[in-house]
Amino acid sequence: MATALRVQTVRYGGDDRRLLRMLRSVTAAARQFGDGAAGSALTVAIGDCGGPEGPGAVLGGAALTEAREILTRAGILLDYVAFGRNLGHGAAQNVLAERAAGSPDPGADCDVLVLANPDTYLSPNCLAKLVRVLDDDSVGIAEARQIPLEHPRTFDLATGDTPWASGCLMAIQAAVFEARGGFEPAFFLYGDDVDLSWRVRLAGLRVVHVPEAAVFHDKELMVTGFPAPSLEEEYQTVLARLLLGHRAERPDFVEQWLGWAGLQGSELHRRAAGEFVRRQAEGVLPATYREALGLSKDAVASVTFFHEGEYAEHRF
Amino acid sequence: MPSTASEPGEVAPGRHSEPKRAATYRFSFSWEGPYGHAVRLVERHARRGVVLDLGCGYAAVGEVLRDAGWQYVGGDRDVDAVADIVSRGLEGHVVDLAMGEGLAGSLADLIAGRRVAAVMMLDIIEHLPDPPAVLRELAELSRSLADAQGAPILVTSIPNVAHFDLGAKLVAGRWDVTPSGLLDRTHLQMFTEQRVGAELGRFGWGECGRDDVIMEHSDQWFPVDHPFLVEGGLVHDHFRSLRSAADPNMTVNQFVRAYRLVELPPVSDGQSPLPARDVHPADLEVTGVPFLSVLTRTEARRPSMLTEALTCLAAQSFEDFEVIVLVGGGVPGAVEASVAVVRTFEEGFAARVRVEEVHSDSRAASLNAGLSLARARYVAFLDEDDLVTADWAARFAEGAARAPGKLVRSVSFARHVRHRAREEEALGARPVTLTKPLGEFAERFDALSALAADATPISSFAVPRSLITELHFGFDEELASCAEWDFLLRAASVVGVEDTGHVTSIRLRWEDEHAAATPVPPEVPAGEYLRMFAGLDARPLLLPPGSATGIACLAGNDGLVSARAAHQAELDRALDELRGALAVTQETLRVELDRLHAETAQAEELANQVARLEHRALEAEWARDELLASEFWRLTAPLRALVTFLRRDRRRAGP
Repeated sequence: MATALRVQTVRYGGDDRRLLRMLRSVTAAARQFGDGAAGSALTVAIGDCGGPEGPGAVLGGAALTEAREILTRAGILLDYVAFGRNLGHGAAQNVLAERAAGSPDPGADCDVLVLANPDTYLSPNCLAKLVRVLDDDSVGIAEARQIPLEHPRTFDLATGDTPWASGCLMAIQAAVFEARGGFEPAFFLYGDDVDLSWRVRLAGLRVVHVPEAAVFHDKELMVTGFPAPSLEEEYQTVLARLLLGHRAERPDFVEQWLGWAGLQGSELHRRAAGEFVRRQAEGVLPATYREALGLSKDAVASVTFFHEGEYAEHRF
Repeated sequence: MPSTASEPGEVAPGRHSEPKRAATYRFSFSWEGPYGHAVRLVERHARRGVVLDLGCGYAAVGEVLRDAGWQYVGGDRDVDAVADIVSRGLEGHVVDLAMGEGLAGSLADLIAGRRVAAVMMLDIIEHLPDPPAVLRELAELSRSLADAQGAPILVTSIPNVAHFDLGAKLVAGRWDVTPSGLLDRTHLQMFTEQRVGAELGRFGWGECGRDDVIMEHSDQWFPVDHPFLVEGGLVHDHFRSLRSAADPNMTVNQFVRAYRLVELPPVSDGQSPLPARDVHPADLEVTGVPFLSVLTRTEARRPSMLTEALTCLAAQSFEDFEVIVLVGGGVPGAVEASVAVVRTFEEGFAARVRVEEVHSDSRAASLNAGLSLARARYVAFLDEDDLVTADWAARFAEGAARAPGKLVRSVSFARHVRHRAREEEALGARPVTLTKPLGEFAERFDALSALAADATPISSFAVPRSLITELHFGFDEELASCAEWDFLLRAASVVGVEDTGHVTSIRLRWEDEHAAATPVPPEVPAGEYLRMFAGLDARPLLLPPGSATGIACLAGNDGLVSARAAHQAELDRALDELRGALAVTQETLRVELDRLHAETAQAEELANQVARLEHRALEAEWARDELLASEFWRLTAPLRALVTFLRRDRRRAGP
């Protein structure tokens, strides 16, 4: 079946050469995707959250030209959007997806959105494997396997079913993304993938881990064997935890993390907790899953999972 | 001049003349010396005819060659020597090799149409101010004398300044010029095998036979108690061990070689087609080749594994490397399958990957084949079932920039994987599942611990290729699973290790066959250990500074152990104090930071209040303006004028 694919990535500063490598990997992956389904079309969308200058500046002219050349040579369209400010990952992805849906250009229509981080490199068969899994209508999201450091989250060895999919590289039915309202923008950088996965599952669709679809994710490892968190990650992960706990109506989890941030957390953790409390006080937190989706508490509890700060059981 | 016949300090009579020297050496013939070796080469490689002996001195080989059936013709600049030759019934001519251009013509005149079998230059070239000029003329002569049966050969004897005795003493700063011998004070040129080959090769002289003079101890073996010349001495033995790996010439006293003219590539400008004879350091700089050659072994049994290893390489932040996929194992179609995997990658990366079939039955042999194919300055290894981070190659490059020529080592992690269960396999799951990370490989290289256990998997280090090109390093193919460990230990012992301190590779360990707690998998036969350590024991082992204490403690030096423990405790106490002070400072800073944050918040609040008040004032102003502009204000204007008038009138009247 011919499938129109739109690979979307959001950048904010970072290494332009890494982004160009990622685009090259998309061109190779597109070949295999194309081989698998005659007439398949592919668009790459880059949402640029960079400002006019500074470390988060927009993609330089030369890099943008090169990006366009890389994709053009492979017959892939580039939809580059400079937002002029940092919208946050989820909001930026939403805008990119809306551009495809709302475009008068028939070529912009897509069946599948592939949401990728700019610090990834797709293995050549990655897209083809993910899209094939999405052929099953029961699957809402298909997630790639990260290398060299595999995500420790559990998955069913036989079916691939997994509690949530990482935003590092996921493929989602465009219709599902639209129907679920895309990402919740309240999550600025982390946790939006968990939130989206849960909402997709709450809608009765499956989230599937695809071990055969490998994607390289650029992470520096600490001597513990795990990636070193960035300062932004320190702040955003705590905020994301609190927001997820709030949406799932788990005050115990929220209290636990507010307490932890106050007593043991770093300054950034405390600031994240403070931000959550501020939003709570001002009544600007996102709606709970129950409110937003009109579901019972039990239905929400059957999908959401909180244990030791994680949202799924881990294999290690 | 021949160094076999003289002792240091002895001025021996010579066999040839040479500019700026009055005396000509007079050596006698010996089958053990360079003359005997040279004659044997003539016997083996030359046809019958004239043997033209240039710089012949007193023609030590004259009678021997004549008696063996050759027509001997000697040539020397020394008139007395030539007269002596002639007086012995031999043909002799006065020849000045330094004449340069025109030498070939002069020699041809002297030959006068006779068939020439060989031209000899025994211990002459090193005395010439411009050897290439002579070699070029001789090549021209040889070509002009060629006939249907071939051309004359050239036989040379040249002293080797790279004899071990010379090199060992030079390390200690000694360079003993002597009246004769390897460092004869009249030598104008110094030759190693490399230079001999280069100088002769330039003019089309290709080696066709050799009978070098081997001398365990040269005339430079003095003083006999020199620390680096002591047989059984550790430095001496270590040098010999390294030198014997580098080339086979450490005991060659003279290179006695025969050469034939070979075809040179045609040139249009009349210049020599070969590079200049001098070595320019800049020429030796590695240019036009990448920094790193990555050797990736595969048997193409699991294409997905090769794909993932290559994906890791394609994602590297540092791109100045080539990849050589070594396909072994003899699986039919393996090369084609591997090429197909490479072609699935984008062209820019795929162009940097070569697929090479290796016909070897061991991992070590595959790696050696790979080493011979590598072109870059450093070589690293990534097996198809290993994975690396994006900074893997960059860390090697950084390490090599900090410590050029050293082995560069990063940190590796192990992860347990298990084979997929049969029912999972049927449903198409991946063959392996990662379970848990094991931080079992040491952060820093420790030369002593490295002898006990291999904590540096092959994917976590890169070696300078100079180890291969200069010392012919390779993996011991007699070893199975210890070959990589053995290679690391030997390489580290020569060039040392530069740690990057970064975790850059992840090795898989199969749960159903692992025995991770032991340094080497238990299935390694005991004999393998013995063989590996026998190899290490065969030569002195260099260890880095600090090893003496380490070994003493390991060997049970209790005094040192307790002294170190006390010193360590002292350091720990000092460290604890520092940590305590640091904690206090951190807390103070934290409190201060909180205060600043609070003040900032307060300041922000005040600023907000001010902004709100300003806004209200602005709103009041707008309201007033609106009022002024309103209909009501206009209609009530007369009334306000009356009120103003009354107020003014009241003020005038006073309270």
